[in-house]
Amino acid sequence: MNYYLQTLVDGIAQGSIYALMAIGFAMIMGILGLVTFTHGEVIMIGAFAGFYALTFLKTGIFVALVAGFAAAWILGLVIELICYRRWPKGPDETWLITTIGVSTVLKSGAQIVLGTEQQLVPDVYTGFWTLGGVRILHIQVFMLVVLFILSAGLWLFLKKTRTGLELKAVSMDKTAAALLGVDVRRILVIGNAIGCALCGVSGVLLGVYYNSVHAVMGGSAGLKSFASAVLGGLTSIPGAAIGGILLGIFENVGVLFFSSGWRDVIAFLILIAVLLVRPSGLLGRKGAEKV
Amino acid sequence: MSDVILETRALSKHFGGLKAVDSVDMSVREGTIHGIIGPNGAGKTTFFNLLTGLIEVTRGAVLFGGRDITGIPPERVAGIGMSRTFQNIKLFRFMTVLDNVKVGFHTRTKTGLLGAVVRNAAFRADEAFVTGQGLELLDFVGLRKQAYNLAANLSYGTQRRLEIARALATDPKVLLLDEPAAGMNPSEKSEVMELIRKISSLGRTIVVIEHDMKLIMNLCDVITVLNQGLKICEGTPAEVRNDPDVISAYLGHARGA
Amino acid sequence: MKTLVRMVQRHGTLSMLCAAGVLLAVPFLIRGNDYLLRIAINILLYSVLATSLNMINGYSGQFNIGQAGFYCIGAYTAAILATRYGVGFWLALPASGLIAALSSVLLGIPTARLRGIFLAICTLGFSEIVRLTILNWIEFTRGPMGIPGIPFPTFFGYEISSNFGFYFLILTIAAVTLFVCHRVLNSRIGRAWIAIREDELAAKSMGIPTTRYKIYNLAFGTFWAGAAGCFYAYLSSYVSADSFTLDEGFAILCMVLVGGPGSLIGPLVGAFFLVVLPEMFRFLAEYRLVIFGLAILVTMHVRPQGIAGGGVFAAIAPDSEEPAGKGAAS
Repeated sequence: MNYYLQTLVDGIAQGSIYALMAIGFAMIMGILGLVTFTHGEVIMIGAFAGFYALTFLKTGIFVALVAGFAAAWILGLVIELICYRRWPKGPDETWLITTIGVSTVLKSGAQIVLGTEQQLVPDVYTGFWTLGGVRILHIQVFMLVVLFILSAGLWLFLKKTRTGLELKAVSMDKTAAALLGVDVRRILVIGNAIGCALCGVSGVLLGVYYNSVHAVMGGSAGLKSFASAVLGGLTSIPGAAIGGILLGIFENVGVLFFSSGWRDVIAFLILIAVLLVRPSGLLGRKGAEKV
Repeated sequence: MSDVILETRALSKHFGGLKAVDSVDMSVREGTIHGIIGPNGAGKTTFFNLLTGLIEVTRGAVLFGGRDITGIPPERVAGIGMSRTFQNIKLFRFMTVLDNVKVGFHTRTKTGLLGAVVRNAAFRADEAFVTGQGLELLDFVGLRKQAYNLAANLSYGTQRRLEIARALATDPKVLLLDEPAAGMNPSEKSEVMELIRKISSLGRTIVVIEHDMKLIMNLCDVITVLNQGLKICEGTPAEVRNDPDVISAYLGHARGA
Repeated sequence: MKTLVRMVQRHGTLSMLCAAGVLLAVPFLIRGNDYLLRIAINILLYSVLATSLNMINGYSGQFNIGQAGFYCIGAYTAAILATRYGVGFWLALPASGLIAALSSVLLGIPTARLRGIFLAICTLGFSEIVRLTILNWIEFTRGPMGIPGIPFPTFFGYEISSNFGFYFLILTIAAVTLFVCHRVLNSRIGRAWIAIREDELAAKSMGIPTTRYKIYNLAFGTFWAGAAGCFYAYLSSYVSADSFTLDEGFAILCMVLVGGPGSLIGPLVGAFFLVVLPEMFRFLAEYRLVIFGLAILVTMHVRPQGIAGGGVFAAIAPDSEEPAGKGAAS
């Protein structure tokens, strides 16, 4: 019994990272309606920013998180400039192609600049609590706290600030928002940057939790954010978070049965299953992705 | 009095609480030109979409030639003898004009992958048929000279005529035209009217949605009037013109030129 | 550039004869130079791969980034047939194509209603699952050790063992591929595919069963990738799943996008440039994929239809004249 509880706990903890990624993804694709293929690489860059902060600048975890946030934010601005600025209305295929281009450049470029080896990320919190036979790592709790704080921050931003409200308006109807005086381009820039920044933070956490960063970690990370967001419902931010947690749980249960080489396949199978059975996910709006 | 070829019984489409089409009964007699009019948002295009299986019917039935075709998948509609044009013109923009029409012949030809590669007699017969008949159809709608132009390069009025030619290629018993004269100047409109009359004179049944009152009144044998999803009148142009419900539905709406 | 294109369009048959002449003469001119022959072989091999992907991405509106998976299936089919069952090259070739096409149906059926990035991610996932399955199914594929010892193909008793011979082999395969694709595109099926690409709803309304046809299209495109895989297996005498990573899939996609989707010649141009340029700038070899990614971005910003693209990707509209030769494919 303990064993399963432990798996559950580990799953939730891991899921919290996925949740953060998925929220970023849902922000960009679900809320803003942009198509992105660069998500994984943004996570990777954030992870490396955190890694360098921790190992070379020898800062604490908080600065590392900020570094990841900032690096990803800037990257988000660059991505918007290259991939979306010229084609504000799409079509989707254009964005898909441009973001594939950027993703390829980032992934290959990272291998050259940052090296092709896996890098070791130092431990941040090594302690743990034991609660009824289940071991809860301090770092796991920390990750959940980060998720909570950032989610709350995002919620406040969307509900209470003017920019946040404009963002909601743009997500509902770009034309109507523009007619009401909203600077749609600015909103796209900011929204995309926020989505990316959240991914950057999740990247730092990934690196810290698994003690490693790798220039090619983007592929797997991108797939998991995608699968989590689709599972929860692309157009729903709380859905994305739930999707992430669930994916973490499924993955941890899954590796009890499959070897770790197949880990990513679990995420992929969940993705396909959701797209086939209930494409709007758990909490999403219907009809967002079909013909 | 000819037979009823297309019929709806209590046809309804609800989008959540909104009744886009509300229990509409309509009968179209073979060989007639049947008009559908109504103020904006009356549910006319939604109605067409229900007929052709593009959206799911909430309640009621669609009958074609006496057969219940409710819920038929859209790709089977052309095969049973009904085809349509679209309000927003859905041409295959980066194919030639002739190729657009050739696609219309899809249900009337059979060549598959193997035939295409091997170019057997059946393939060559199909291609000759499709090219020959296609050029004839273009002739019929007056587009023969533009056969090898890219559809995207056509003027607006010619695009609409191409869409009609493409729909005719399926050899439909019933042709559904969704605002075929929209955005046209008076001379283009009378050309479209002529074309529609020509098609009708060949025995095809036509159902046409239009906003232009004059066009509809002059063209149609029977008119169905929709307002907010409901059918409020059905009859000859004279009957419809004088119906008090129709008049009040249009009060406050600009009358078509 | 435009005049050259027009000239070629106007004298279609003559241009093709010239091109054929050049292609046949090339190996004789560079006979002694194995390095150059290898490049020529690669250009033709990637021409087939890029064409196979173009049939899908350029003509039916589906977005497939996982072509490497089918390339891999083709290669392994050939390797297993050759080394374990003694099947000859000429039988393995269509068999590889067929197996790749059948596997694509496995992908096509569940993903038939997906579009855009959702479909793309699924094709990616499929490609990776293929690679992982092959890596882990050690009894069948020898896993990471790969399959060595694929014999040379024979042609009426003559063994094809030199680059010179392999060049003519891939030239034949490429010619057949283009020939068949050209014929299919200018037929009822080809028109149906293009109609689906242009407007799926309108295509449905004209009676085209779009879901089924999209699956046919996927199978057709991946067939040629499988055949290319067979050639690759025989060329290298050894296959290993490592050669069929996602990067390979991206490279092929890049060739289609940069060369120009939606026309028969686009992928050939793409294959040519994206094989030759990395060779010319050997010192940039490490940056191969970075350059490919940049090429995609530059293409989208400067000339979105690619170098020689057609259809919806073409900004140049042809004049109203009689058909210039390649019909739906020009």
